Order: sequence, then C-alpha cells, then structure tokens
Amino acid sequence: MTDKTIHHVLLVFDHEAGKLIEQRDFGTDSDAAVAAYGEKEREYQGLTSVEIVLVGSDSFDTVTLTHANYFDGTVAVSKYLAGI
Amino acid sequence: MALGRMQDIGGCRAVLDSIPEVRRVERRVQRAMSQRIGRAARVSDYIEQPRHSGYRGVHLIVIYDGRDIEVQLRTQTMHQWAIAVERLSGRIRGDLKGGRGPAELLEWLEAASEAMAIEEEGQVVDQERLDRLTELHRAALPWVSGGRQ
Repeated sequence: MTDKTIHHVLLVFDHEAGKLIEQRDFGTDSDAAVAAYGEKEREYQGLTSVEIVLVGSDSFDTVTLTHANYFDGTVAVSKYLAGI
Repeated sequence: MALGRMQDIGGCRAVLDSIPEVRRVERRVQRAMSQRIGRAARVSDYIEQPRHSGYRGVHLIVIYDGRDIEVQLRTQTMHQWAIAVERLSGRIRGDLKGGRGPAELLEWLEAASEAMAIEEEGQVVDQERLDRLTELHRAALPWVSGGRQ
C-alpha cells in the first residue's frame, strides 16, 4: 500500500442484471460508510439478487483489482478462462 | 442480506505477485499473531491442497479487536481464476468456488486452475492436458456463454 489511509467504498451489485448498480467512495469517513451500508441493506432486504459490499482499501483503484468481480475489465482473464 | 446467506461478515484480501511473496506475507501475519496474542493463526493452505473446485490461495484466521477475521492471500494468477469464477457464480447463482454448480462447469474450472498453477510454477502444460481442457471447455460452454439455464 502506498497510502496508509483507508478509503471506504460501497458497492451494490445486481447479479440478475450482471452489473454494478451503485458505487460510492466515502473516503476516510468510516461512520458514513457503515451507515450507508446499513441503509442499502435495508433498501434491498429480501432481494437475493442484490449484493452489498463495503470495502476498505488504500484507494478506489485497488478495490477495482481486489474485488474485480464487481467491475468490468479491471483484471486480465487467463487464456484458460476465456469467455467468462 | 440475511445472515444465513452470508459467506463472511468481514475479511481482508491481498493480491500478491508470486507464491514466495504469499509465503512471506503469511510468515509476517503469523509472526504478528504470535506477538500479539501468543498463538498462531489457523491456516487453510489451498496452494498446497487446492479445493476440489480448483480454488487456490492461503486463508488465515486472525484475531482483530477480539473478532475472527479471514485474511486471504492470493497470487495474481490465483486471483484471476477466483474473480472469473465469482463472476460466473453470480451469473448462474451457484457457489462454484465451494464446489456447487453444474458438473461440466466445475470440471472445466478445476482443470483450468490446474493448468494455470502449472504455468505459474514455470512449467509447460502438456498437449494431453490442453486437449482435455478443450474438451471440458466445449462441454461447459452452454453455461459459460448462456449463464443461468
């Protein structure tokens, strides 16, 4: 990590639609991030196709790598897994 | 999300350059655990013994603020496999990493993981294995391209 400050990123992914429907970077405000996470969980309660994740990282760019399954094209795909 | 459907509540993930780097970080985590709480972290070594699904990586359960936190260590190659499989799992609403899903898909993903591991260790994937992968890919294709059926 190049920066010791933790950024908090909220991701809302719709598996039915196969896409990220919301992404919010709260910067270092962990309280706001946790509150927003709770709100989103309540908003989508009972909707099993929607996944809500709160990630802390040194930057948003790192999140797009460590949690690349929620983003398009941020991680190379092995030739053995072409087509996924 | 209902608590019963959650795989985990909190965790930590590091994507590293190589297997030696994974081992170096594993040793550092263990050293820190020993110093802080006087015992080693529980380890699931899925590099030494990959999951049946083909999942590879090292998981350590560390104690942080009195809570169990899973630390996942992977190389970029292992991460590529895991990310692709998580994507596919979401599409078919299965748990392919956990070994639950269509047999054709599971077999292909396991074989792909083996081939990726061979290359990561600097070896060459032989023709017989490549041919088998092609066959398995063909069988899995309806699931890969069509998603949920």
